[in-house]
Amino acid sequence: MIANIVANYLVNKGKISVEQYSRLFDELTRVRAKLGLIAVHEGFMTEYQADSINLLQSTIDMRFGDLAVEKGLLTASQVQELLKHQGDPYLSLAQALENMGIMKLTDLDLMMKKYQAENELSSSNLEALKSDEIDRIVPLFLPPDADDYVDVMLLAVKTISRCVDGNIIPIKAYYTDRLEVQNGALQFADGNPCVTIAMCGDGNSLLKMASTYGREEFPCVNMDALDAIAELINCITGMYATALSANRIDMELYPPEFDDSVESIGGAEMLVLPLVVGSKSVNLCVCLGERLEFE
Amino acid sequence: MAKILIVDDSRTSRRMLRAVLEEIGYTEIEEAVNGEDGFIKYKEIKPDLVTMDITMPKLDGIEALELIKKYDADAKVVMISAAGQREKMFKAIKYGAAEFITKPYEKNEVEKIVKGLLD
Ligand SMILES: [Mg+2]
Repeated sequence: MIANIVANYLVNKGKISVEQYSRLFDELTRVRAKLGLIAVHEGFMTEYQADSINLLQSTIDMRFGDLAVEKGLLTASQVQELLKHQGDPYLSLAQALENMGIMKLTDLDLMMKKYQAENELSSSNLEALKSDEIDRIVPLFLPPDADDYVDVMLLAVKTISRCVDGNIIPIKAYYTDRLEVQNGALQFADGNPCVTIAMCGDGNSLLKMASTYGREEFPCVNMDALDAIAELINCITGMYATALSANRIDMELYPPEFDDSVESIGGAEMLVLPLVVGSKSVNLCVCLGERLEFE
Repeated sequence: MAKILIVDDSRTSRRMLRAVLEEIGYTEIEEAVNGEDGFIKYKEIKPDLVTMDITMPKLDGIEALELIKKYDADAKVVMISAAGQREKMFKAIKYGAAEFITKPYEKNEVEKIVKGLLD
């Protein structure tokens, strides 16, 4: 998830092209962070020192770690420590960007500082983002007073990520009592508290989600495609109800509703988490305590 | 060949379950789109097994189960649910549901339950 979020940000900032964006994910499937990059990230050496060891390495048949120890830049125990970080998702992304000649780690770190400021993230928030753990990342995109929404949002994002697209990107969530949309599906579940979960889009933005989940190529977001979205929501609501039933809270699920021609969703205050799924923006809307409706 | 009736208001869910059932060797499959339709089709087709979604408009799965079991006490009805809705599960057991399957469908679970009831 970190790779998608950061790569999407770099595209938006004009730092990488759309073509580089898709090549980046190919690169990511085979990349592992190199020792030099990790050493710079951990503050054990400067980028200049790492570059000079890399240059030396191209003329002498020795491993980076051994050379760095020989040159007195690292100790053997530091090398062991660095090796543990080779699978680190953020460092793998940095390595992929460096391999593609797009930017060095220090440039990426600088972009992350900008991202951190723009999204008002604390240092621990940034660490959570870099951890690539969905449980730690999703709450970063929710408002600070949205504790009650964390479980249901997390469940929804995890389900979409598992059943539709592992490369899903969350955008900052916000509250509203009316959202203009063109089509979507929703499900109400009565309980204490009751909940409405909805997935809405414009035009064909829900198409990839519908086709992937429904395992069927829909020509456009028609009622059959929305039936697939509704069934996906049904699974999310179901899992949420199952989680609550462990606390002896019983929920009554109502049949999902869907419509291919609406003006908005509203009726109560809801939390909207915009998601980029297959390069299209869709909205995950959740309302705790009231029923949402399409208008 | 055993006849199976899928009762589910979701077209997607019916398609997914049909695909799994066909994959494990059941090809005589009929569909109904809600509880009422399910009860009518049950009387018409007399299937060997019914898969009954719980959350449906018109008649829900529990109400349809009750009707079917009143009509035919030997009916084999497997309840399909996305959720661990305890109240509904208790009712389904009371009315004689044979088994439960949770969505999303997992081939192994469907195969074990359906074959267990039909073979
Ligand atoms: Mg249903």
